[in-house]
Amino acid sequence: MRCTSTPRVDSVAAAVAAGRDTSDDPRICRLRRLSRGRRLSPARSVLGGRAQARRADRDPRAFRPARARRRRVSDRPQMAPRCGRSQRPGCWRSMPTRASPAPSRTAIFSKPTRTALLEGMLIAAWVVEAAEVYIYLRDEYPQCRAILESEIAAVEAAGLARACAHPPAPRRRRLYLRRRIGDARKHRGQARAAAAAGRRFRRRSDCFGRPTLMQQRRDALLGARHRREGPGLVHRPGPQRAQGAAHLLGIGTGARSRGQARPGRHHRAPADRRVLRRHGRRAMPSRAICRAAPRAASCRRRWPTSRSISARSKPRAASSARRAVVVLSDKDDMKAVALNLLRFFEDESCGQCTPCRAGTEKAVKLMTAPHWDEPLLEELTQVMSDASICGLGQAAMNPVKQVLKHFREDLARHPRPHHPSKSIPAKAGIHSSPTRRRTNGPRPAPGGR
Amino acid sequence: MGPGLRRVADDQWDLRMTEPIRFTLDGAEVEAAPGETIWQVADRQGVEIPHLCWLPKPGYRADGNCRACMVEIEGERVLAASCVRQPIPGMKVQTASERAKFSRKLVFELLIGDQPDRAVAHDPNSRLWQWADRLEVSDSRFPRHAAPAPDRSHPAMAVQLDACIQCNLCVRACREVQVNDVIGMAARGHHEKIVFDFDDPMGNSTCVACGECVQACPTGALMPATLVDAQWRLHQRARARGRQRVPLLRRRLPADLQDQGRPHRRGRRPGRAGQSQPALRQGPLRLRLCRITRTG
Repeated sequence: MRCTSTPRVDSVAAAVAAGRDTSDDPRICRLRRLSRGRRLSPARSVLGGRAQARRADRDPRAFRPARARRRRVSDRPQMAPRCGRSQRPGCWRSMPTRASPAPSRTAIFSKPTRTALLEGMLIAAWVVEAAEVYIYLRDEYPQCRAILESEIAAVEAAGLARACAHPPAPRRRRLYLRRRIGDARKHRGQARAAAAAGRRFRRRSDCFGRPTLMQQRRDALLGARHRREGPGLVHRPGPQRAQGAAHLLGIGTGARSRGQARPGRHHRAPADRRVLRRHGRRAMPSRAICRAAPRAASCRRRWPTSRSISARSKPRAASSARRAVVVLSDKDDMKAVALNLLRFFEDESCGQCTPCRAGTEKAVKLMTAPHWDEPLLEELTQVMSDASICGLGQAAMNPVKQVLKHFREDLARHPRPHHPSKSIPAKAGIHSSPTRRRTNGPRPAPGGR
Repeated sequence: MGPGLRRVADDQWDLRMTEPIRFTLDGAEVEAAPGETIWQVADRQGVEIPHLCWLPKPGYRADGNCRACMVEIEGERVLAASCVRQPIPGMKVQTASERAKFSRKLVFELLIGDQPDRAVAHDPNSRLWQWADRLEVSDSRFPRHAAPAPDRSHPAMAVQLDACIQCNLCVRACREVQVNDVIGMAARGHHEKIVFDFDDPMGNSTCVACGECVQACPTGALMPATLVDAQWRLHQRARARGRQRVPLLRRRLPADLQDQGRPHRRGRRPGRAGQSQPALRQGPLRLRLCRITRTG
């Protein structure tokens, strides 16, 4: 969701979440007053009671609470990486069972969060005096959309907001439900890296410093819970949610788990563009973008994931064939990255045709040498892409091509025996274009950021 | 093949079964019989295209894996292997474009980089080396691959896989021509190699010693054992005389080495003088094997 006016509810929620004494914060005071006031009291009845009753007319069996299918996972080990999907410690997950063919529906209507979202949004909009409220929903969950539409209609009927198309009356905010083209797995690599490092990954702000959509959703829910349960709730560990839009409305569909087949449509956004925008628009000129490897390749071998996406070093994108980008640090040696990829292709080559079988092997040998034989590598690149039978051989030399084209300064680097990022000082601004370097004023000190 | 191309082929299926296919080969309008490949048409027209894994003999299927016969087809992104590619009407084929020639040449350079040096090659007159001569590829700039050990377990045939180019011809010879199915391809990538049965030594395998693979091998990786032995003795003799590098295979063997251990040999002796050799010999030495024992 997105609020269109400048002050945002996230500042309040962040203050609350940070455990600050917010008793003097005027906004919090207004939130507290709100909880006792009668302004939002219709919301509870409308959103909770009426919608439920309306659906119960159609199929009363669908609204049984889903308590039997919930179980508490032990919270003893903290975020062990790669644990089972539903085995995350300290979280509530709805477990679909065979006896319940439609657990998602029961979960929808038994959970209060479906109303909390709209409620929190309205609170937030009221706090920041926003005139328009947007909900962005991916198309993967048509059932979410149906529920949200009916809930928005209920909100509108209650006079709390107006679902677009009309000029805004005072105190009647416009609610928009919009399609969101989103990639459910956009943060997966980062989340995995964070899990491996023992942290939880949660992106709060985008590259412009504004809160992300998901963070605003969290803030809205927090606001609603705050109103219901008082300020102490933010210190308790709250229920951890499942995935994406499903838990916007508290849907516990078993099928939405990560890696499983999900119902509905799946939109794959141009993730590379998004990742680049998030990580590297300011730090990285467009010429440093390197399409080097398909995703399968980039996932297989020793990619320096956690290091490369850490915010400390200046990001720099490499790789990707379709919708996958590997963002690397400028302290990464692109020769080593390319060699790593070529080793992968050498391993993957089936051996049928000469250019790919011999070419990948010779390329690895040539690239292991301290100094690359560039003319020979270029010739090999041309022949492999011209004469190989299949796409693997034809594309295998793309990393080399890109390194020779875009990362020429790495070719001059001396090969390092140890960890690449530790032995060579960072060359700040090395990937900036000359014009940019001139206009940007004094360059940051090496090793900065 | 994209859907458009496939549709064209489907539309003209009846046509192609009955009528010759007209296409352009090096600027000249040529006709191909249905089922004929570009290489065969070019061969008929007198255009020479290198080939290693393709053996123009009855029973041998074209495989198109050595990529020594690449030609350029107008409008296509990559080159095509002429030994397997069949022309379609209106196709414009360039057999001698710079791109195709460059590609073939580097393929030979890649292959020769892993061969033993020509001075000590098992068969310096193999088809591989002859084609390398024609393409003026004499040495390779690429680093060398570790050579596997020779397998001399078979009494009649020597397996020296350091000269193997994984062209698959011996596999097709064994499996499809002679239908013995002893030789197979094992492993992947540059670890790929031919194996006998379950990677047994050739002498312990179910090989019936028909010699078809030896005839088919374009490099001398599979050779008659007698020749290898003769080479070896010749080599030792030259070494004893103080010459370090001698070509291992001579066209004419010394008289005392000629008839050893070959009671059943029929046909021509290796390199008998006075015979007109074809421009490219098909086997390593055109050695005919005995029809009874199928040994040399």
